[in-house]
Amino acid sequence: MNISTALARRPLVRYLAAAVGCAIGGGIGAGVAVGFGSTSSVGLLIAAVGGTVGMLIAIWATLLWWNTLDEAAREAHKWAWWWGSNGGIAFGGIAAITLFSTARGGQALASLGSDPVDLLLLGGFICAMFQVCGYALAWAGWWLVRR
Amino acid sequence: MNNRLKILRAERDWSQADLAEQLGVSRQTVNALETGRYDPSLPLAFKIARVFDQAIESIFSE
Repeated sequence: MNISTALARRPLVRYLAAAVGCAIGGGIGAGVAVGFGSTSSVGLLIAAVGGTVGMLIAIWATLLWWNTLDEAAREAHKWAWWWGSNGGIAFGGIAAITLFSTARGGQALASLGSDPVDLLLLGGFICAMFQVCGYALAWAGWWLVRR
Repeated sequence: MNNRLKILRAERDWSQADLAEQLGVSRQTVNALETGRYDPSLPLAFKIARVFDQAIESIFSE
């Protein structure tokens, strides 16, 4: 059995291989960009091109994966995308704003840095985290009620 | 929507996995269909009708 056959037969291994590949590619790209200086035009160009290529590969891989799903599995993902992701960011956003509005929360936020780029990235990460959590819960819930 | 999928499958002594393979869907999807908690699309309903060699309205009812 060659590697491609093994990957095709084991979805978990396939996802793990994709994640490892993305991590290695992202790490190399980030390392090269930082090597040129993260704010230099060459560093930014490498990061932008690397990010674009990475996203194109990710979209292509997602299309391949999507075509392997049957209609119920697609429905579960669509439901999770809409209700889970939006619900996650809606309620998570309220929780995060409330938390960071408290004195202790404000101090914690300030300790993470005052650079606008860092804060922007942190905000993006928090939003993505709430979306992913909401998505996962909604997806699991969709299948759970249809067992 | 109600359906007779489980009965029809049992009559043919097929497992959920057998039916899933013939329909080109996952076993979980067959289970969701049988419990009536997931209504199939029109193309899948036609496929089910073809597999069981019956009319759609004799398999699915409101």
